[in-house]
Amino acid sequence: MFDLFIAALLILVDPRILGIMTLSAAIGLFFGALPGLSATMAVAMVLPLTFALSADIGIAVLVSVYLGGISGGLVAATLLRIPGTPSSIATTFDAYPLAQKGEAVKALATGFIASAVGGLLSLLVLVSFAPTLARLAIRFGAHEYAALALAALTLVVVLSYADLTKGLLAAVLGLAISTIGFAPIGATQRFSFGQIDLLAGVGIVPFMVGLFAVSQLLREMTQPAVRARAGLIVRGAGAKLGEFVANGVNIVRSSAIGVAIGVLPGIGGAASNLVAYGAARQASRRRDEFGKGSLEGIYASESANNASVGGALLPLITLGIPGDGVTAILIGGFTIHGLQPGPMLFRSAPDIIAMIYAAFFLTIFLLLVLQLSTIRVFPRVLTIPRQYLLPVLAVMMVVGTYAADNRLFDVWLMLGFGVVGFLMERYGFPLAPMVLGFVLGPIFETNLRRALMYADGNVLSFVERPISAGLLGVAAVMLLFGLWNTWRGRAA
Amino acid sequence: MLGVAFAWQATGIAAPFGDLGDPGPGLVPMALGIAMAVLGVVLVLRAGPSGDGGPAERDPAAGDVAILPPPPVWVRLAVAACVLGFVYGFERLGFTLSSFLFLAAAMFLLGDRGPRGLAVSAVAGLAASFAIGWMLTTIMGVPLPGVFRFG
Repeated sequence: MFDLFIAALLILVDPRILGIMTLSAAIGLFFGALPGLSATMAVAMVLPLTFALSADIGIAVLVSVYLGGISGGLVAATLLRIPGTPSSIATTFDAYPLAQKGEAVKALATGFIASAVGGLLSLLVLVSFAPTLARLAIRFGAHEYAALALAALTLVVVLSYADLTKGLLAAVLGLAISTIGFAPIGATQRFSFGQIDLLAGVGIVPFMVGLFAVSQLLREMTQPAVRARAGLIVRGAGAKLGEFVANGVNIVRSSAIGVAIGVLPGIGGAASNLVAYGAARQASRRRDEFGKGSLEGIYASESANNASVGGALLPLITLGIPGDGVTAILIGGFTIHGLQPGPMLFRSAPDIIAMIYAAFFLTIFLLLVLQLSTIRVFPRVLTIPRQYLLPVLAVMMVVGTYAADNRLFDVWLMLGFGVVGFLMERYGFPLAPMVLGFVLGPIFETNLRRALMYADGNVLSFVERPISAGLLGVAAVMLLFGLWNTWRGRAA
Repeated sequence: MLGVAFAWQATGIAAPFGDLGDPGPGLVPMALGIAMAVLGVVLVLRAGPSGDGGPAERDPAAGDVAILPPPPVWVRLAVAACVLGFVYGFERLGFTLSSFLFLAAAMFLLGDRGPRGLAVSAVAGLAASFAIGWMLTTIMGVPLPGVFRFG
């Protein structure tokens, strides 16, 4: 694998590819930095554009945008006290007060370094554990995969959202949309109503771009927007080596928390930074400095949120199961390039796995260089007027979706899903379970039917196999936990 | 209602492998339709407040940020019409021309709606359409219809 990693790295440092990777990281940073935009939106928008690239470069680009999006969140968190992404909520607690003391450069530089180290540590975990998990997962049969899809979906719905009914309904709707077109076994036509454009089902690109990008654009058009004032100035000196060394244990602990939470479906970066921040505060001898510009707080939050990326990629590449909206879109990236993430990928396309590692590794350094070299300039993206930003984003969405399959029908479909996504969020229906349902739908259905065929229609075979029984048990326990939480909330 | 309609449609799906233990292609849609209907009924029947559907509460610090009100409704509708026009004309007019027209119109509507704003929007729209076209076709290699290039 090390040879493949080096080979992948050499491909990525080709000047043209390096340019694309740098652009991808910058796009991610841009989306992460601007309040209202997100890493998920960035990955959704770039997804169709990777069609024109080879599979390995396309996936490298998506990984780069993802990491950039998570890293970019700290800019607005530091300068405006508005987390650019949910992954930087805890960053606002200390980075903003530090910036207010005239140390914005120190706050930003600390965050950049913490992000890079957290990312590197999580990559180390990913590289170390992925082959083991993949070897374990290769023993999974149809029963286990069907149960795993169900368990992942239940975990996401229950752990991520307060309203169980709406979360479940969103997931079911996503699953239902995935059944449009040819059935996975037997190729029976379903719900296409004679529409030629729907025979192959709903495309992953119009679905993702519509739900995550167009709906966000609609929200930006209908809600008050927050933008930095034109006179935004970044002052102060940078981070010091001594501060970094003094936070070594804090960074390792926070990264471990980030990876562990990132692995769990439905939680990810949004929770990891808060948990790591809390743990750092508990372990600190200077607890009273937290919330007033503590470097420990910034190191904890930013190393944890970037470390969660490596954690989130672990189930994605080893099991083919996404844990949240953004990894569901990444699955889409694999799918459009004809790849099926999962344990078999380690055997059938180890070069792709190596490329993911290499892209992750390279992007960490690209981001660090990009961020540190533009530390006083890049934050000015926060002042970009909405009248220029929104139309350009709309063009990118239309062009990207069209380019994916050269079909205008997909663009209309994307706009339709945009309206659906906008209305769903407006009325409290989460989008991530819907996307997960859409992505996991074919995996679930194919394996459910295969499993039942193997077992000659015996439904009990799911509980007769220990792993699938365990996974179904997890799903059942999570559902009961969600119901109990709902009941407790209502009683209170 | 959507769930009931979905389940009802699912009853009409043929099951070619029904005799091999396979429940057929209608089982999952049927189950999903029923689940949708049941969850819909639960949603309608239950009392009390629902989950917060709005965006996360913003807590801007005074002095650093400007809160911009959303554009007036007529502007939103006009921009929506521009988007539809852009999509309709995308293949007919080609990328550069349709993008330029859309960008100039949308930037004008969302920004300063005076003569100066019109000029700025036209220039910005032109620059952006050429820049995006160049980036997508030259750097990313994305095939697009009607991309004008210099040189």
